[in-house]
Amino acid sequence: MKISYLASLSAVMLLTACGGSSSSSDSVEPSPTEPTTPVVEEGAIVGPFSTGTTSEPARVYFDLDTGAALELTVEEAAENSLWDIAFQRTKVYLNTHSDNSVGAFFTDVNSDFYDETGAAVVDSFLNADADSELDDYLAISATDIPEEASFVGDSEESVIGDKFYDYDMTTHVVTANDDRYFIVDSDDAYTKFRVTDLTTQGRTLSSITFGGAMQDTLAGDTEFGAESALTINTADCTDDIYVDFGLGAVMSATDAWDITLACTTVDDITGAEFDIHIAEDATALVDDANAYDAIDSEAAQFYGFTSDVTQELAFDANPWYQYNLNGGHLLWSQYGVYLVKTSDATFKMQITSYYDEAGTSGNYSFRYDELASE
Amino acid sequence: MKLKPIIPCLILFNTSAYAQSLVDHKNGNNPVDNAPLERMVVTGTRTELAQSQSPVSIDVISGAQLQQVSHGTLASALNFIPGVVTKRNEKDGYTVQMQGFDGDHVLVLLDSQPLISPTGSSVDLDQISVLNIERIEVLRGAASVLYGSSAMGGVINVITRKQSQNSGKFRYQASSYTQNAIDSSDVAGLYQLDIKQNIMGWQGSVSAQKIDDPGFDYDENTFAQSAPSTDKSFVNLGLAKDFSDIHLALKTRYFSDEKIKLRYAIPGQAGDISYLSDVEQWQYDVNVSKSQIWKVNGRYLQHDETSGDSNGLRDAEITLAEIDSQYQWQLGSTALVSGLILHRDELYQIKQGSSPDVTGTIEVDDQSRDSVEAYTQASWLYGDHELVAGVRVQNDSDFGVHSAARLNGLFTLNNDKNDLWQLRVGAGQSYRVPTLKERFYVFDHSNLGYMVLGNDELDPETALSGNVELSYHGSVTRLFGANNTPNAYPRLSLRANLHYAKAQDFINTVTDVEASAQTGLLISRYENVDQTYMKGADLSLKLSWQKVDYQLSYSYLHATDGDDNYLADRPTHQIKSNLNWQLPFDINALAYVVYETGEHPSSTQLGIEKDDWLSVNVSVNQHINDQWQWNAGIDNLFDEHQDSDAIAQGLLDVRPLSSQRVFVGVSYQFY
Repeated sequence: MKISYLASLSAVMLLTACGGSSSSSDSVEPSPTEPTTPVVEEGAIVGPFSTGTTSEPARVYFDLDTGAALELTVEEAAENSLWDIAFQRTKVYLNTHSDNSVGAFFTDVNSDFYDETGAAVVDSFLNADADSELDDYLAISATDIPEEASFVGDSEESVIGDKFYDYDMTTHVVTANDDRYFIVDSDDAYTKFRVTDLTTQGRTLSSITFGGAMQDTLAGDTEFGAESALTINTADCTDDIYVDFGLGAVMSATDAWDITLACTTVDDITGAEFDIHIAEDATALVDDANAYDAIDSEAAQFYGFTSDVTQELAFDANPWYQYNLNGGHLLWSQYGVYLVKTSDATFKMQITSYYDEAGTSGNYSFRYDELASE
Repeated sequence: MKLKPIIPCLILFNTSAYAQSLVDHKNGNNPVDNAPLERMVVTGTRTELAQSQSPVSIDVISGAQLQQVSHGTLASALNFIPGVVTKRNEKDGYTVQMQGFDGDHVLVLLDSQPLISPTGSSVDLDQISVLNIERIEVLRGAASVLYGSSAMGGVINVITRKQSQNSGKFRYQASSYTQNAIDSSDVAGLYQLDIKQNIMGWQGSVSAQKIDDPGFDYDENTFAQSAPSTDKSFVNLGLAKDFSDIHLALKTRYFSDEKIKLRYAIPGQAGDISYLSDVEQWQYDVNVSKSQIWKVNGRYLQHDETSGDSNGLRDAEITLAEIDSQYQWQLGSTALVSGLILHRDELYQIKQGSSPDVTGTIEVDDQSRDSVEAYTQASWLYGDHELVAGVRVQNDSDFGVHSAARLNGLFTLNNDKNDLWQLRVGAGQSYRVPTLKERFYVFDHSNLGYMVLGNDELDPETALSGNVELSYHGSVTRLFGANNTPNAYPRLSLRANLHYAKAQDFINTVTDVEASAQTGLLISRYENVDQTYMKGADLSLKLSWQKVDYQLSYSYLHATDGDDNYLADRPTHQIKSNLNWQLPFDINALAYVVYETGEHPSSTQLGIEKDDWLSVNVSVNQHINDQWQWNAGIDNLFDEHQDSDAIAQGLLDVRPLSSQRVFVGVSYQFY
């Protein structure tokens, strides 16, 4: 396996530091004609790193500074700021730790791998390899680093969250966004609701009024019924609030419910938070245009229902691969070059393969180098 | 009630004439000079009777013909049979379609018992050697009453050689894929050794065959290879003896097959991915019978297979065990044949781990299916007419009790063997039981967003079908009114068959909406969903005159689904024609043509590159003397084959994955 330039550099610095602290006076001066460390060319490939199988996936956490893969559990990784980028099967993750919030920027070195309609140019993918795409990689330098705002990190988004109200930045007044509908799929029924009115009390909600309509699939409904109003006084809440639109009532956590609002106390003021969630086994979507009078349960998967919280991965916005271009269920790299900004440095990175030498999938090889100002 | 063994009284033509014909044929004499060749068949009724007296129409292809049109296996040989459509599958094996039903719904039997189906329910014809085959009987249409699952579109019953004189024979055939050869020096080799010896009252036989095929490639500039290189070995051992009127036969069949085909470069790596297949199959048969009265056949088959792309190999262990017993009896004027069958299927399938120390992923976890099946078929003779009615009941460990019934009739319109008009009609039910894969499969591609899952709630697929066939056996002169002429030449056979089938609960994968919504993946699950309607016609003409046999057949098919959309992957029109000419110096020449057209594209195909194809095949063979024989020929004379680029672009190209093939062989008979 080749050694990355950065890893070598780290090793050199470490050796230098150790040498510097040595009190020995008989240390041998390094010969200028015999370098003590190998010269590693820019663009050397590291890997492959196995990310397991479909049934037993593994996540590889990689520290770009040291060039090392760290062995961490998901829980440990959440508290770890050393790793920068992680891989698990087709997904690429960036660290979101507060001490190392990593962002990515996608350069367009191989934008011609897609035609004007956005379709993959198959021959471009099939004919590309790590050697042919090296020049594009080498051409990226520090001058290509965009402003910091252009780097995007991984994030989490609630499917409903705070989307039910508008906040006036000038007057600091919160009002219900009664044009925005939400559809929740839970307990074999679809519920379409919006928030039609709300009152605030400090930083909490003191009351909230919903307009809700049901499509009970088990009862044979094929479209939403008439909307009915439900007002809940949240000012004096003591527990989190669970709402079931079918019964039009506040329930307990152990009952069947559709949405929940957390109850909180801020500066001695009690009320609901400006945040709506759904159950773990439920899904929901935002119906901005009030477009759906009914949900076709046979085609429900195509509406875009998502779970309560979804992880938005920066690499998903610009996928590094195309799938099944020649009928072999294979993943072909676009050899795009990503800029990855960590808390310490900015790197360029190009994923070269998803396979090991035997063709086993889930094995990442890539090249990366720090972009240093000249 | 008095039960007595049925006397084989249904045979119109005596068997000695048939035997004499075979002897003549073996000796190189043209059988067309003799009386009409009447073969014995068993598939239509499970009892041995003359072909013309079978209430169900049966086509027969002899072992000698098979040798002439094959390259060691049944794969290319069945293309010779009218109305049979051969298809190459994704494992580079071969399956057949009949009357619009695909390979999963055509039952392939070896000595009237089933074989293992590595792909769904369809047997790979390229895994059956032609070496020790006496004949193949082809039954068009449904026959689930007699044969159970999968006998919906037809039955192909491969009958192996039973009795023989002492003989020893070796044959070698070399062939080349000419301009499609991967290397111009590539030669495919076929080696056959066939020994029959009677020792101390035991009839022993040993036959072995090896096929070494380098494969072919249409375009050397592309990475992928068109057809795999294969290495097949077949060994058959047989022992048989008659103890008074009891016949005992023991048979063992071994088969191995290794295939390799270059498929893809590994993205981002220097290596490549090949399709690999390594198959080993053992079969053990024990048959005990009392002629025309009863028989008990036992079969145990073990099929071990490792196959798939080299970066995702699967191991499959498939087992079949069956005891098939049958009794023929008489109840008053009613002749009956009854049977009891105990059947067991087992399947274990695992996707190999990425390395030997990584556990694989089980896709079918040691599942099995047991069934007890019983059938009775009764026949009544009214003068020259015969009525046959049968019923079968199957009690299955998977889905409980299922049954099928069928009625067939043979009406002789003019009972003169030189001017014979017959009408055959049949109607009834047929079915196919879900395979273990369809019930228990777990195919996990969730990292790419989808999974395919089995469904243990599946029911059998069923069909209602009917057919009417009018046939004529006589001569051209008689047909056109010269009834008193002694000249019965040219001999003529005509046949017109109309068929219709309505099938339902066909199993297909459909999206499981609820599971998909919950998981965020596209979950597909096997369900009983599809309906199909098949209707069509088969017409054929046979002419025999002096040294020439000529056959022309045409098949029409109209196959649609429940939404009246055409079914893909089936030709609307098929024409087959063959000419067999006995030349001087014991030279026999054969030419046959296959033409298919009118195939409809599937919903995923983007257009049509070519929807018809033509294959012309010629061969000659000569008996030099009692020991030496040679043969030569060209298959696919005009090198009609699919366009790989068109296939890659998602276009319909019905031309098969095939190549022109030039071959020459020699055989030597020791004794």
